[in-house]
Amino acid sequence: MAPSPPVYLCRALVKRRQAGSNRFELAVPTLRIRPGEVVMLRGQSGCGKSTLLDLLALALKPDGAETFSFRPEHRAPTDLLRLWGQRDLDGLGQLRGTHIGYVLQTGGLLSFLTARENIALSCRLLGRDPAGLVERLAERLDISPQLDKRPGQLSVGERQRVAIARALAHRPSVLLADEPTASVDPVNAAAILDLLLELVQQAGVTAVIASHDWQPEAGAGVQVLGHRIERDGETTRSLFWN
Amino acid sequence: MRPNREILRLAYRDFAHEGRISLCFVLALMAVLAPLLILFGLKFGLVDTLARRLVESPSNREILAVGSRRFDEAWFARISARSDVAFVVPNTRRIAASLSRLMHPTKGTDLRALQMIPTAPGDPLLGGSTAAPSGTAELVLSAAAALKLMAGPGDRLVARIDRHRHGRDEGVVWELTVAGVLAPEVLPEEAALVPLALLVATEDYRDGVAVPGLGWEGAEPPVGPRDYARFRLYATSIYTVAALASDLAAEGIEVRTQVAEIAAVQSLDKNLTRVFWLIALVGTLGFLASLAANLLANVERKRRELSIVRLIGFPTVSLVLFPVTQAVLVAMLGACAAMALYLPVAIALNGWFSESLQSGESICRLLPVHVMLALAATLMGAASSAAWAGWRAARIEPAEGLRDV
Repeated sequence: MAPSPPVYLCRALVKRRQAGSNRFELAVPTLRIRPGEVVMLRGQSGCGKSTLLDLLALALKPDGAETFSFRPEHRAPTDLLRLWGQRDLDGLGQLRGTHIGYVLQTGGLLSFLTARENIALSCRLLGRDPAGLVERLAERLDISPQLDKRPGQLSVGERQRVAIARALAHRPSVLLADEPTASVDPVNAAAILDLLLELVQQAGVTAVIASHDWQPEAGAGVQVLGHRIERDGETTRSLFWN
Repeated sequence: MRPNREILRLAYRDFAHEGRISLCFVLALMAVLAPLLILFGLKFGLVDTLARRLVESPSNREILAVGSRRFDEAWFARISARSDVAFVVPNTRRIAASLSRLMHPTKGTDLRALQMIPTAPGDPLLGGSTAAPSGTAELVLSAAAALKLMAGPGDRLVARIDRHRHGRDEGVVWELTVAGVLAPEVLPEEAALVPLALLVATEDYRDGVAVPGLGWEGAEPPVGPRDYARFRLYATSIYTVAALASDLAAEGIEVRTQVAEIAAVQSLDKNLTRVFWLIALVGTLGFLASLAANLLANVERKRRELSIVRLIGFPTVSLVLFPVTQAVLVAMLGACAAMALYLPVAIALNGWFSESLQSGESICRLLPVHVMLALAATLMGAASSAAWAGWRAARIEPAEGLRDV
């Protein structure tokens, strides 16, 4: 059987940042993520994990690439370079809103909505009725009693669980998570990440998870991306590949 | 439309959630808009009332003939047909235009050699409130004359006219009713406003001519149309006095007008208007600047929320709509709060000055159209500055506003 076509296909993807005289360059020589794969980014903080996730989330414009395409399940591939070239932020936003769930390092919840409304937001944008689904996700993530509280009334760990629920509520084909447990105590952090992995694998969602310290159990079906940092004078180059 | 409906809800929820900050924006808007409303209210009330009183003041609009000539009915018909003439009535010779004596029988008071002024409906001296006397048995007294006679409307007076005829002193006496009393500022001197018919009768009697209508004896009245020696003439406003006067001068009629007064009033009118518009311009610019500054700052503050909303997948229109909705809420509530502050101030101002106001005048007044204009300008200013800020926020890449989230 031929392998199914990749969700993400990148070749020579580059994003540069300049901070004073220091130049940072994220480089992805080749990256191919297939449907249902769970990929992990591991590396110190500041090594460009967030930058790579932002690129994959269609939230940051790459500086260059030979190929950079996104192909959600049962859809034709989209040339992201072309969309960025046209600066079609609405087109990119629509792809992201429909097919991608993104868990940010610090939740990224809207402070004026309750946890329930935050979780339902991505569904409501797509015109889907989130009723029932929100409760099921909340039960799985153990946040049912917190659903009618605002983010300000929740602990950091609870907020991250709400963020995970929101990222999954609209049934995306891709889940991206950027150090989702960085500010959570280690015991809780491991529990949250194990739960995230379980939810992702149950739903058959393609996932890219960045974490600097998470050690998934061997045989959990998690692929860790190759990573290396090169220094060249004032330029720091961070490479990720598979 | 779905994202837009959703974003309206989000914008409102955020606005309500941040109640205290929203209240600050509303109060800030009220603080600059309310004085502006009061200023405009004073312009349309006080300034316009003052200007109208000066511009319409009868004494400034009067054109006086110097010396006597003969003016016939055709001349009066022609003059009264002019669009720049507010009022014209024939007048008799000066010598005939006085009552020898006017008495108040029940009070025992009297006036001698009281000046008579011809009047008719529409006389500026009567204003809108006093009805013109009619027939030959009614008169309107000036305030000074009424005070001396201790007479009020409805009082019955006795008038007397003397003449010297065929070497003898003669006189007639008849009853007159006070139809009204003028306000003191309209006519300071002692005088009586009477229908033209009474003046004509007096002139005839003094000339030794009979007045059959009143039973006064004398020579047979002459036949044919009557000429008048003088007139009372008022232009429609002080701005038409000069042209009217020069037309009369061209006919060879020597006239006198309040040239100096008119020039002073015109320049005051112009300068008051200038002062007002200058303050209004500065005030309005300040108001729009503060409104825009507040709303732009609000969008800067909302960068985080806007980035999250963008990341979730909302389109550009929604990102513009979010701050615009909040700006419209601020504008509506702020304008309502400003009106709520303006109304009691306007009522208090009008109350304090009610005694010096004539009917239909206000010190502080805004018409519904002015209020609608103020509201429209506020909404436009608010929505456009918020839309611009929202548009700018929507153009950045979602990740840029996200990294501090």
